[in-house]
Amino acid sequence: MNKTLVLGVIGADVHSVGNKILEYALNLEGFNVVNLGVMVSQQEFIDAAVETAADAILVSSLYGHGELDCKGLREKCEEAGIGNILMYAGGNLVVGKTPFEEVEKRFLDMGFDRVFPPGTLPQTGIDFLRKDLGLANISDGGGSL
Amino acid sequence: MNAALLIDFGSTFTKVCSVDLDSEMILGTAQAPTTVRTDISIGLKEAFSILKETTGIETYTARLACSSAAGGLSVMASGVVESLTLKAARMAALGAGAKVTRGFHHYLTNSDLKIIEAEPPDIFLLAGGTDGGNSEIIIHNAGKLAGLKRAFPIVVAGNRAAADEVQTLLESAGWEVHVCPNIMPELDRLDIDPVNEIIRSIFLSRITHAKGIDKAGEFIDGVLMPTPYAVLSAAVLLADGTEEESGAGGLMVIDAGGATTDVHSVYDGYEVSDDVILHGIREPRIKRTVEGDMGVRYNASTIVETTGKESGGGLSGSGKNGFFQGMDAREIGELLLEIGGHPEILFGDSKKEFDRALCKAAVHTAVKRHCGTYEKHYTPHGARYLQQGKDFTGLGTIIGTGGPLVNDSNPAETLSACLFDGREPDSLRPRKPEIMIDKKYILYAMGLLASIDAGKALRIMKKEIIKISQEQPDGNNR
Ligand code: B12
Repeated sequence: MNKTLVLGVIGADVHSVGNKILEYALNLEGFNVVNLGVMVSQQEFIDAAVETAADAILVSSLYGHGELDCKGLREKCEEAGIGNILMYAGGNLVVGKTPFEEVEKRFLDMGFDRVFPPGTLPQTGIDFLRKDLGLANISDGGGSL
Repeated sequence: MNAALLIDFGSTFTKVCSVDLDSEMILGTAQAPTTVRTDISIGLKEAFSILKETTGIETYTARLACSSAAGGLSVMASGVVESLTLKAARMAALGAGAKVTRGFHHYLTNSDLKIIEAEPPDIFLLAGGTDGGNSEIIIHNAGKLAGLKRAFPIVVAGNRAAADEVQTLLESAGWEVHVCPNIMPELDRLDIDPVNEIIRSIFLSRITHAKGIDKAGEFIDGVLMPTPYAVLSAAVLLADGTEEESGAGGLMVIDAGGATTDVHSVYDGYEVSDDVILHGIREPRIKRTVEGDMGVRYNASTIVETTGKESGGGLSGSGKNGFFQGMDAREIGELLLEIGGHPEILFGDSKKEFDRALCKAAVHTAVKRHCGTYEKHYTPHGARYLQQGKDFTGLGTIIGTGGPLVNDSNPAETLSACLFDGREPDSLRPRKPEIMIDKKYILYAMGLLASIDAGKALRIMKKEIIKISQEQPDGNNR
């Protein structure tokens, strides 16, 4: 069965270009993509994931308030009965000159499973998804989801 | 003469409307108390004989009825997430003309089951999960329902992947099950019509009989639909017209009543500009909401209490600009006691203002809940709006119906309480619609007539539903 991913740009963030590209790339890869678009609240991510029995939540944040917007998301997932769902964050999570490693640690501490630096290509995310969701890599000759 | 008799078996009154199909004229209307507890045909015969005095007509070529007697059509619904499948299920049931007595989300609990057993619905709508999405909850809930002692038909409209299991579970426990396509196949797509249709067909095949409404059988050709569905059908016909004749365009019908205030709309509401971002489920073009706490008789004290809170105290309440402004709390309290003891009471002139305030507060709140909202966010590139629900600001027409509005001496003024207000800019209510009134209370009748001749029903509505403008001084609209 196809794996379901919930995708969106969190908070009051309107940067839509990367979100569209990610949706396109993930669809091509055969994922069942539920794209919530931009300006998505934590509650909307969770509601969508519960209703669609999603396998992962992919949060983007571009405008610099990612940390504030993402706080408490894991706890709310636990509350909603999907505490173990795979959760990624990416986009422009770094504000100012903070080294990425520090930002990454903060997001990992918040309960994200993987955190991606600015400029990450969709393919990088896809490779990790395949691994974390236990799917064969296409290069391994698997192919089907 | 070629005449049709259109009947509404209401909860309190049985209403009849006589129509000349050749001249497309309303010949007369009448009403008598509904007698569903004894024999529903008694009240019908009485209303009919009152009508005969004015029209003189004995025989009709068609006699069609709708009904909300014996509690109307009650539906309980369950979904996974409250704002998603439960909301979709509620919308589908309401659109079929039912009232939703309870909504449940996530796992049904034992105390939920006690509630269901104590006040069993006519139909249970079991939803939950997008196709391929959550299936545990709907399966769990089906298992819980299967163990109940009270029986009612169950409509299953959830995750396709779980439908077989749900059906087997319930059928093997002896339940009547109707499986429909998923009400929310994908998160951003609803499929409400099949559920709507099956609910109405169960109403016809089972529920009219169970409630004794089919006893009127020999006097009528059939009970075709629940009354609210007849009103909604009339609204759709008036808005969209027929193939030969154009309609009035997007509109909203506001039906203020003693027990509930209903709002029906036929309007897209999603013509958005670039600075608007849509959120939440996309609501259907044909939408009905029922406010069970906004009946101007049975909920008078609730109206006084809640409207103040809901509008942030600005528009209602007894404060400045409030609907009850200028009335002192003691006086209001006494009037509420009076209504509480006698919901059928009609106030004389001196207390009419209070009645009108109640009606204003009810239509204000009901329309506010029906309409979508904006949430404003500032960015360096100007404001962006999150829109949830339908945007009615550009709506062309609102139509008032129901006793309290029809009998109001200035319904336009009362109805204007539901319009867009700069003090509540986030509530997307109609800005400058044409205000009209269903003076003879014929919408249900035209919804019924539409089932045999839509063109005639449309032309009669265009004649009988009249424009009223706000500027007219009080009393000019009688
Ligand atoms: C275009 C743009 C805008 C447009 C957006 C239009 C639109 N409809 O999208 C407008 C003009 C509206 C805008 C506004 C603002 N912007 Co701007 N914007 C940009 C800009 C130039 C390009 C963004 C873009 O489209 N990139 C292309 C896409 C393809 O890349 P992407 O979004 O990063 O996404 C890819 C990857 O990151 C990755 N990815 C993303 N999410 C995820 C998630 C996961 C799990 C994974 C695996 C991968 C992944 O995959 C995507 C596809 O390849 C960037 C600068 C830049 N060069 O990035 C600034 C930038 C993002 N904006 C910025 C800022 C500050 C703003 C404003 C706050 C104010 C301002 N100074 O203009 C406002 C915020 C408005 C708001 N409320 O959101 C900053 C953010 C700084 C920060 N994070 O610290 C940036 C970085 C510019 C800068 N250097 O200062 N912006």
